[in-house]
Amino acid sequence: MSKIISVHSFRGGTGKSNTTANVTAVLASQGLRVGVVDTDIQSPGIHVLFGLDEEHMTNSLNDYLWGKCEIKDSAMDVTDALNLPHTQGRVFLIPSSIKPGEIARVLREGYDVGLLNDGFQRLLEDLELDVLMIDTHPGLNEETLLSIAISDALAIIMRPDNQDYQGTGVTVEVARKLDVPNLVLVVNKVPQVFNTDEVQTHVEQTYGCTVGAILPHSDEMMALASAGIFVLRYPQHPMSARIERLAQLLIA
Amino acid sequence: MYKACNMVSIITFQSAREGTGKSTIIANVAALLAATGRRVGVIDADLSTGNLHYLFGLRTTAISHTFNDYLLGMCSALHVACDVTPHLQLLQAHMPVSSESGRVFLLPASSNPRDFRRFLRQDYSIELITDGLLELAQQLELDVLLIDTQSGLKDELLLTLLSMAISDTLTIILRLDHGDYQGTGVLLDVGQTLGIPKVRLVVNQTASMIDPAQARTQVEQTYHCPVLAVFPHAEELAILGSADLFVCCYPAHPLTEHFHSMALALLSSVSRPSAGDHAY
Repeated sequence: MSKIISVHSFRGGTGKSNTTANVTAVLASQGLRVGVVDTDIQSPGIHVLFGLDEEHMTNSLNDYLWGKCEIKDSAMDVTDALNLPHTQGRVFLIPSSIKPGEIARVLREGYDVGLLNDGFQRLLEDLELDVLMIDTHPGLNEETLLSIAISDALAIIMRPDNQDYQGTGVTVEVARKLDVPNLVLVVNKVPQVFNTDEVQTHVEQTYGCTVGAILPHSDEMMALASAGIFVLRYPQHPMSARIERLAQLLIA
Repeated sequence: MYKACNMVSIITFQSAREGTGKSTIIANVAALLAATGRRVGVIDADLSTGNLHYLFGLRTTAISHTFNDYLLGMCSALHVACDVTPHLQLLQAHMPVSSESGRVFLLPASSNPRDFRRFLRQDYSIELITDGLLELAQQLELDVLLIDTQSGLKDELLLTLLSMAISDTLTIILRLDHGDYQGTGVLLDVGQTLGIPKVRLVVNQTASMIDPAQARTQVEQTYHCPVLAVFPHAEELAILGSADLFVCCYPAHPLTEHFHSMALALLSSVSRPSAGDHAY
C-alpha cells in the first residue's frame, strides 16, 4: 500500500527540504521506491540536495502543469548519485523549474491545482512507488492545502523560535480540520544546550500533537551546506538515528 | 556622491531564500544605528510572514495599524509608524552605545495570513512606495530607512522591486549553503538591472569551522560584490528565539561586535554627513 507524505512548515528556512530529502534517503535505504515532488514552485530548492543542477534538469513539474509532458516524464531517477546501501531502493525526483522566467510565469498565470492531485496519483502508479514525498511551499496556499488534504502523513517542521510559534499553530489547526491521519511535528535547529525531552514535552503540550523528532543544531549539517544528504554522509551520527525514527513514524 | 543633508538613506534587505536571518540582522542593526543617534525607520514589507515586530518585543495585540493597512489605503504611513525606542531604552543600561536623539520607528506588517492573502488579491498604488515612503521619512526626520522584504522574488514581487528601486543600497543576506548560491546571483543581477547605487552582501550563520576572513574573500570573488559582514552561527542567538534584540541582551557577546561592525559599514556605505557622526 503506497503512502503520500507531505512535509510542511509555516515559515521558510526551517529545514523543510533538508528533512524531506533525509527521510527520503532513509526510506530508499530500506529498499523502498520513493518519489519526491518539489511543489515549492515559487522557490524550488530540494534538487540541490540531490545534486541536480540546471543543466541536467530536463522536464520539470512546471512542464507537466502546463500540459507539455506527462508527469512521469518529469521524474528523474537520482538514485545513482546517492550511493544507497540497498540495491532495491530508488529515488525519483520531480523538480520544479529553476528558470526565473518559468517561475515568473507560474506566479503570473497560476495553474490548475487539480492537476497536481492527478499527477500525484499517476506517479504512484506509473513509477510503482511505495512512498511519495511532497515538499511543500511554506505558508498556507491552495496547493499546500491540497497536498495536506490528500496526505496519509504530514510532518510540520518548526524551529524553537518566536517567529515560528503562531504560524505553526495555525498549520496544525488546518491539518486537524483536514483530518490528516498521521500528523507529526518536527522541531529543528534546537540549540544544543536545550534539554530535548523538555522541548518535546513543551511542544507536545502547546500544540497537542505528536513530536516526531527533536533535531538539535548540528555543525556537521551546517558545514554540509546542502551539498549532500546528511543521513547518507553521517550514518552513525545521533541525528541520523533521530531522522530514521521520524521516517518510521511517517510510514507507520 | 553625497546626498543632500535632509535626505534619508534607504537600505533594502533581501535574501534568495527564507531563514537566512534577514529580519534578525535588520532589527539589531536598527537598534545600533539608533544607539549612535540616528533616527531609523524600519518597514516590515515581508507581508507573507509579518514577524519583525516580535524582535522589537512588540506583541501582535499591541499593533493598531499595519503596513498592510497603509498599502490598502486605509491609513497614512505615519499612523502605522510605531516608536519602539522606549522598549530599547528599557535595555539601554546594557546598550554598548547610548544616545538621546536616536529613535527607531517600526512599521509592522500584519501577521494574520488572511491579511496577506487579501493583500495579494488587491491592487495598491505604486506611489505609496515611490513617494509615500519619502514623505514618511521627512515627517519622521529619518536618517536611515531599512526595508525588510520578502525573501526571493515571489508573490510580493512588485513590492520587493519597488522597495529595491527606491533604495540607495541593496543588502543581500546569504548563507554558505548551496541552496542560497544561485538565487543570490539572480538577486545581484536584479539589483544591477534596477541601477541600485550600491549592492552589498552579508554572510550569515557560518559554521564554526569556517574562517570568516576566508569566507569573505571567497564570497567577494564569487559575486564580485563587497561583503559588509560575516556572522558566525551563534547558539545564544538561537536560544533567544527572536524574542528580543540580541545586541541588547548580549552586549558583550562577540556577535554583538559583528552587528556593530555591520552598522558601521552600512553607515560608511551610505556615507553622508550627520550631526551625530563624531562617535565615528
